[in-house]
Amino acid sequence: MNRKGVLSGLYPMTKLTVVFFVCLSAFIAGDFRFGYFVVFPCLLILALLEGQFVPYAKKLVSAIVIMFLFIFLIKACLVPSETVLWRWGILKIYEQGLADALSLTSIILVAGGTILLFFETTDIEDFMISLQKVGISHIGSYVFLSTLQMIPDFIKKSKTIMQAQRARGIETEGNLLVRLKAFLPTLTPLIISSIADIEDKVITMEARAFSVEVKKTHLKEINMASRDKIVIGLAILGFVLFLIWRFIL
Amino acid sequence: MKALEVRNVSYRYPIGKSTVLEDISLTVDRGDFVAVIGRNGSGKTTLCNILRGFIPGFHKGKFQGEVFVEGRNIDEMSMGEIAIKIGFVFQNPFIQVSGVKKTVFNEVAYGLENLGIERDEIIPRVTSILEELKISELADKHPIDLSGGQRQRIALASVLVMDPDILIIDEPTSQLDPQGTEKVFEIIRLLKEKNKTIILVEHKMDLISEYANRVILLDDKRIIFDDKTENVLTNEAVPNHGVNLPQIAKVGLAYEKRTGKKLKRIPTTIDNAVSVFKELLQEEASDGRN
Repeated sequence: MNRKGVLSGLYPMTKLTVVFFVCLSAFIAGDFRFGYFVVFPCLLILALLEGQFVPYAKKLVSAIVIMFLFIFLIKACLVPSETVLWRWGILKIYEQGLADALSLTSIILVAGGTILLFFETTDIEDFMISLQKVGISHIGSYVFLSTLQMIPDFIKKSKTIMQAQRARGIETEGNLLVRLKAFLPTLTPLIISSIADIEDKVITMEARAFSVEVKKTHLKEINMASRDKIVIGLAILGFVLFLIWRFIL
Repeated sequence: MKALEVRNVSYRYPIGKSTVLEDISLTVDRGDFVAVIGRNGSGKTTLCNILRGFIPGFHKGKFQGEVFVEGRNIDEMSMGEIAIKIGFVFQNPFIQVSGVKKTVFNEVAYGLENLGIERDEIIPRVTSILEELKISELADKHPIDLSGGQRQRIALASVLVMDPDILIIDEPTSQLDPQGTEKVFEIIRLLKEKNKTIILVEHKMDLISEYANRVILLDDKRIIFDDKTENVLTNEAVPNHGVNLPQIAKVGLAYEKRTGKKLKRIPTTIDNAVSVFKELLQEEASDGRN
């Protein structure tokens, strides 16, 4: 992670406040163009300025695209209205369905995109410390963050199990059905070994005095700077202006 | 003074059909270096977990008996209190990082943060332990980028920085190469010099004979031998319980069998062997002259 960027230098709670206002705006906007043509390009530009464009884009594609397309198609095809825009066999895309699909997916794009950018530009440890500073217990913050950390481990482990399956002669490459057939049997060892890892991790943390009931200290010192206050102020101002534009003008 | 005491402990895991340990009693005095040996599945790790309070604190199942830490019943102690008294190093070096720290320095400091130690004190303590364990060069590395051996040394540092009086070290070298093993044992040697109370589970008998002053052999759910290292590791009945004797002891026993001569003692360490065979050669030389 590039820690020299502007976003990376902000206090985690500042960024979280901005994420909150942006997501809320997307909900209130009621217009898919806000998400698609205002927020999303801004997110890409910010990632570019931060020097994180490629990893950000990769995560965005792997985390959101499948869900995005699935929801888009379900909404577009299953919400009926009088006007059918496109037809292919039994598949029909309705006008109302398309409008609903665009609206919902723009919210998903904004929420997913901002949250991903937040994690792309935030040090996990900084986030944990800032969570504790706002009163979230060290157990809660640890569970939350270690769960996030587990995702890459989970993917890595899944790949290892798949490789083991391949070594035993099971076909893992090919069409969706072949891949699905190979993938489903890996779920049991994956889940069981992950549960075992969690047990081990809990005991490991106990050995590191995790549950000692004292006020925890932090080696790393992070505090809200004046620029954070400016950013929060601007976020509130921007949100108020947005509300005026949306409901009054 | 007793550092640890186990009275009539029996235990069965929640999904186990039979007990793993049955009616175990032992005491460990302060400053003792006790090696726990036995075949796989003999209950060594279970015993460690009982001594540390993970059983029945974390792993439930059927537990009977009592455990005392420096005279206090472990049931009356919180997990946090036990963490301060007893350091625990696990077999698997890959699960021993917190997952939330980006440098080895911060990783080692994590236990102190959990104990509420102030930052001004944490920095010199971590620096000192990294220097003492000769791992200062790893300080800025990400824990995830370390090898198994390096992770195990970091795990030891992370526990030692909390300065526990008692250390339970469960097969620390089982997943390490010879070089990694040697480095871990350099640290264990240092702990011995500091007069820490150590309970070490290990399969490498040559290393046990060098370091431990007492050996407990577990088999068939019970303690089979609990005696001085040189008495256990020269006992010809030990291999019947799935454990090999040290190579040097085997040489001594083979010498006695093949020559019919009795050695003054069966050597268990290189130093022992040198002195025993030196004396033997001197005796033979003087017999020859007479």
